[in-house]
Amino acid sequence: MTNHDKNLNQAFDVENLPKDLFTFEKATDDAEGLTTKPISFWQDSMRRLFKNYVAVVSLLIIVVLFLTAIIAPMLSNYTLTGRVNQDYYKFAQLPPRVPVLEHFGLFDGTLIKEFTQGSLDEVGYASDEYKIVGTFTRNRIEYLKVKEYTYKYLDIEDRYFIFGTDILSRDIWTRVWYGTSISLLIGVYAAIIDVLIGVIYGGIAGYFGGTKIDDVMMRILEVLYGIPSIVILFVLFMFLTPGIVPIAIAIALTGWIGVARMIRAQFLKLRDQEFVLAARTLGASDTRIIMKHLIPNVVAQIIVMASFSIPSAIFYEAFLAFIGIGLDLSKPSLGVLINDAISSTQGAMTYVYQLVLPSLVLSTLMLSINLLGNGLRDALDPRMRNN
Amino acid sequence: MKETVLSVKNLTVSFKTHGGMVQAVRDVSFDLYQGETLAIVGESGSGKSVTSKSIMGLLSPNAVIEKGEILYNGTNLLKLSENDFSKYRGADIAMVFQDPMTSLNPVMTIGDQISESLINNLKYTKEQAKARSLELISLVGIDSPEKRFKQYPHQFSGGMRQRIVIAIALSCNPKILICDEPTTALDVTTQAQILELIKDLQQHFGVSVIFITHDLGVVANMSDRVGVMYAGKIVEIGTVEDVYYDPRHPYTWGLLASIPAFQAKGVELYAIPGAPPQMINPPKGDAFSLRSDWSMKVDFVHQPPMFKISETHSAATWLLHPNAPKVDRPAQLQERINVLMRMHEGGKNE
Amino acid sequence: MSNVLLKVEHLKQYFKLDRKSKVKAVDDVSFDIYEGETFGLVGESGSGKTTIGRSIIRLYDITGGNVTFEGKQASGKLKKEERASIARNMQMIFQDPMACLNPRMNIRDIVAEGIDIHKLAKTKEERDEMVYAILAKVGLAREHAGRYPHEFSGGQRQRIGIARALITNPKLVICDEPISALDVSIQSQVVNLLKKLQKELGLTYLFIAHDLSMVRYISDRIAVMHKGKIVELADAEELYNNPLHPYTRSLMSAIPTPDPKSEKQRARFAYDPSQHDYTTDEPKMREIRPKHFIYCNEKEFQAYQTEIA
Repeated sequence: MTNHDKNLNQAFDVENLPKDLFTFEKATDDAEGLTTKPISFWQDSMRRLFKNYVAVVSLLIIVVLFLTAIIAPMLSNYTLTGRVNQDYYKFAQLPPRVPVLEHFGLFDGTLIKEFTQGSLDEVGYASDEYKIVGTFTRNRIEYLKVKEYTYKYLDIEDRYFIFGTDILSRDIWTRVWYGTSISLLIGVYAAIIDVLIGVIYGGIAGYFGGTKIDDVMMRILEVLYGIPSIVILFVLFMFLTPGIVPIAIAIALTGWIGVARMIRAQFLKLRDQEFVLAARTLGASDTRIIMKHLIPNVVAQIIVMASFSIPSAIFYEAFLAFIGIGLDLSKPSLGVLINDAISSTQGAMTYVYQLVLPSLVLSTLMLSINLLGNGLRDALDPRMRNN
Repeated sequence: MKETVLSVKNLTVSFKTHGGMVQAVRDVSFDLYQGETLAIVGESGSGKSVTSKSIMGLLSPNAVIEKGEILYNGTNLLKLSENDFSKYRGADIAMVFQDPMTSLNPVMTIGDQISESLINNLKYTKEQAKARSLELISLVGIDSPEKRFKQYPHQFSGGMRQRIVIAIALSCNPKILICDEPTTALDVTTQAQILELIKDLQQHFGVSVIFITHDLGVVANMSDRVGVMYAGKIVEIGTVEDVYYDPRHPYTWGLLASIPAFQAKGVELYAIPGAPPQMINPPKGDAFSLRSDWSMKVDFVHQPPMFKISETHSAATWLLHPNAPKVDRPAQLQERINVLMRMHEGGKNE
Repeated sequence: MSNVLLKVEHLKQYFKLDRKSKVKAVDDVSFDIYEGETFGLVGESGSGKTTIGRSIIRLYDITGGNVTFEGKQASGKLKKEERASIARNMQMIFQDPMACLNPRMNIRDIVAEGIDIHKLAKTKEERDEMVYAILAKVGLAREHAGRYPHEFSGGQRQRIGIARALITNPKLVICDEPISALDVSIQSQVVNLLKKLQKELGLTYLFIAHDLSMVRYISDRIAVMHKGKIVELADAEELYNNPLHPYTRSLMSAIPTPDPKSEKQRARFAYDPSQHDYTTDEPKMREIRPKHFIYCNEKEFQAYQTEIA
């Protein structure tokens, strides 16, 4: 039943309504009264953002990843480059082992290795140090799939390496989280530089839209846009020494163009809005108009742009590291770790954890930031307002 | 009694939004007679456009038709599937929108756009469609139809575009033409021409027109009958003479009195205080009572039913209840009506 | 007769479309506005009426001509103090109640913008008091000051725009179609408010609109614009009772009035600009009756004179 029906169904007899109802009475409600509390655009947007549970979960994941990236390397007993033990042959390529979880068969410090019957005998496992989990035939030779209880075999059952160790017997847990913070830093730096250059360049072009200044600036931008970014990067790295900031700058140099275009378009649109004209008739200076009227109206778009810019920078850096540009081995990002893992394990399935773990962190990070970016866009987009 | 071509009964439409259900149209009923022009006048948010879109079956997806029926030729249009409805749209009921800029396809020639509906709805051949299109282009008062046939919308001025939109709407000889603020985006002189054109074509095609507008001057010019909408309801309906020379609802009084047309200088304009109510949570009782100078206790308790004033004229206000005290219209309005009546009386005697 | 507050002489405002072509939005227009009066400027879209307002208030750099405000030069290159003085004394009310307020600022900051720019308040308290005082004048409560534009209805937003314009105590207010985007029942509220404020504060209005009936009600004198030129200028009643220029007549015949009986027999005149033959005899503004000017050439002037005789 609709509200309206309810209203109509209040039984009353039109003919015989009591006479006293027909006396004049002023409306008591203030017709112009505002009943709700005042809410600013930002409060309203945040309220909408927190209603979007995908965005909230993403935000939580990002916070957890971020905190772990800072805290984990600090609490770790191992360093980024130091070997976990003097006996580095023994401590190289150890599988992940986590207390508690190991009892459930996860991260239990085992490796799946392949042997022929002969080579298995040569290793000389004690009976509780291995388990045959399967057989297969390759090139007419029969192989055994063997689950090796590595920690037990090496007699280091008191040690736990959460993500295992790499070929140089370095602690992967420490390296992954350190790498995460490096990747995040590169992403954030790149996004800040992106937005900074983009807003200034696009802002100037947009504010002076239609004039010579705008014309020249837009032509330059079109030329830059025409050059493939990878070429720019190759040239840049001929001059730059690898490092977080140089990489961030390099990535930002190819990424700011989109921001500049967006800001220019927004400024052009806003510049002719009546509230900007009103400020000009009141005698507001250019600086005041830009800072008080234009920028605050594009902050939402800037945030959204930045939130998409961070994961793309992270990914771009990983891609560059992967193809071997801009590597800085003293400050390995997640991309460097993945590249490392591929070259050192030669793609062997036995040590695939070295590749999977940093990739998993990288993917989770990018996915969450992207989803949060989507949420921010929905929350901040003025077209969604009043719906 | 004239023949009824369209009958809207108890139409109630709401929209789902973030804040809740917006009750856009609340229990609206009216009949459209053969060959007449019925104006529906109201402010923005009064529900007049939603009413017309319901008749055209063009409501947005978040709209919910809570109840009511729209009867055309014995068929309830609201019960039709989208597929069945499209057989009526264009062919039986056509519509002219407010903005001629957006209601034409910018990448199709004018000729193709007129022919399209002829070919689709009336199964014309290409040649027949072209011949008829040329006829329609000159019928809406555009010169050199052969040349115009091949042109694109951007080569036409706003008024010309609206003429083309009207030509398309009338191309399939519809029984009903809905004009939703067709002249709001146009200048006064162009508006006058378009109104004239619509009146001429109405004679020519014998079509019944529903004319949606907020402009009381346009209503006086165009329509035979008028329904005044406020807060999703029709509050007064009657012939233009009924409503303009003998208005009964306080909202109609306010609307008419606030027009400066005959207002003496230095006298303050009559203004309705406040703003229309939020339709997410419309007031109990009479929605206008919050802004009315004539509100009674009953207005805050019960919604007024339609009271019949004459065969043609009814209004939904408790002031028409036999128990209600007698009240006068705003003095400015009454005086203006008197002046007009005297003027017209004088005219007759001459 | 009261003093001339604003003098516009031979104002030209051209806009470049591309390298070759330009639009003459305002083409050699002259008029005076007297202190305390309401000067109505009527025309259809593209007539240049909005451009005139914006040129006077220096939103555009004018192409040619001269504007004098309070006897001082108000167009072209000016010193910083002169510009600030004009900004304080000449203000504008805009058309679109949705677009004329910055959605990211609260009402207090929007209204106080003039105070901030011209440093009219010494303390925060003084600033607040000024804002509350002007809000009260336009019929809003001080509780509204902390709120944001989207929480207000169209009519309320227009009042906020009026408050913003009045905070610097201007002498001239340019009203650029201030009511055309509002609903009928709200229009009269805003017009009454403008009238009231004019009386209380001694304001002078340049009222730009396309709605002739409202302009007639509010204006003392009216100028009718067509294609960048003023074609007729007269006292409001004179213009309504004795329109002479064919464009004015066509415009007046097109306004629908809320009177069904006369509306149904009304005849309309179409305006055909080709009826003027200006090839040999140049047209200009000529005074055909006291204070009634019309844009015509000598031959037409003779014809108009025989017509009113």
